[in-house]
Amino acid sequence: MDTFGIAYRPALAASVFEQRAQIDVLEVIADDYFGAGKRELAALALLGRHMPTRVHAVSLGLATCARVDMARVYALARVVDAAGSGVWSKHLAFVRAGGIELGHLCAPPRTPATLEGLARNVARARRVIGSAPALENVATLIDPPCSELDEAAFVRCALELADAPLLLDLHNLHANARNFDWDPIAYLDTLPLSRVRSVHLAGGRLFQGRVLDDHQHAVPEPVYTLLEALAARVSQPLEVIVERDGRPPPLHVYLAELARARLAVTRGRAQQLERSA
Amino acid sequence: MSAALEIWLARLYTDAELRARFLADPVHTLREAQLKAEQRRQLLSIDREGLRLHAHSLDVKRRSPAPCARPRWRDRVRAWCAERLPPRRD
Repeated sequence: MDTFGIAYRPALAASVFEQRAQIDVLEVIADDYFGAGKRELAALALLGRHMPTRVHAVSLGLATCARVDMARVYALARVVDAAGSGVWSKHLAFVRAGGIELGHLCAPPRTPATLEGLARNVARARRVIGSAPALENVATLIDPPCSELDEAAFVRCALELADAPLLLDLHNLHANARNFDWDPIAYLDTLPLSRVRSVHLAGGRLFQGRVLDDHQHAVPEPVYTLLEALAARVSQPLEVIVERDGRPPPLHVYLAELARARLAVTRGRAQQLERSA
Repeated sequence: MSAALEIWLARLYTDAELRARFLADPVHTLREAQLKAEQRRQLLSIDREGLRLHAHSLDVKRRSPAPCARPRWRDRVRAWCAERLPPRRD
């Protein structure tokens, strides 16, 4: 069964509990809990007992030739353990190099060396945490220099080498397709769609002619179109998460976006049935 | 050498002075970089507008207040021990 949820923020706690019949799953940002004490982790564990809770890590930086910061892996392990589901995800990005903190996710050079480094880092993290992450495609404003693979080939190889599921961010896909002038549906068709376990939906804005994935705006219509196309192509259940960063809007805004996402998935599934009939 | 490329890109994305020099005179700036000739050649055709926007976006992110995402000291100690001590035999 397809499930629909939101990126959880503590500011939403009361309204999420009130409306939990309309939310199937929550996603927490691991990094928010890296410095957490027993009380915050106990609150996360309580949340995890009431609703399926996924852990999304931001500052790990697995897609790099360098060794992942193991202190962050141990911190993440405590968060995944507290959340209770064992399900976690991470971007195909690097966030630091040579002691320089980039401040956010950066698409790495798409090279065999990066892929080998990613596979080693996923294996290291898996040994500590006990499960492999779902790997997420990232949005980028710059076509990563010195790349030898296009984005779709890089994602395909990464999933295969790391033996990991895909967290498909459809706004990242939309943004990159717009920024670098390629067809997002054709991209979808080149991905190993059987590996898609979950989907991120978000919004962004135009920034000097390119789409900036800032997570601070409503999910745009082309992203729902991509969700419908995805649901028409895969048979496994999808877990769809609406993300917002910055100050979260009231819960009814998320619920409206979840309703629109449900509609898109229903339409996609109907297309699949029509084709098979 | 790919680690060197990542480090050089990290500098290019975060160091405004290096970026300005690179955009003004890429050939000369790349001569100082410890990169393969092929990487230097590819960097000459970098997406210049993308570089400018990406660097600006990272700059805004680094300036925005973010919750502390640093691991606690005990996670650092565990990582240090795991890297340097032999595995425990149970």
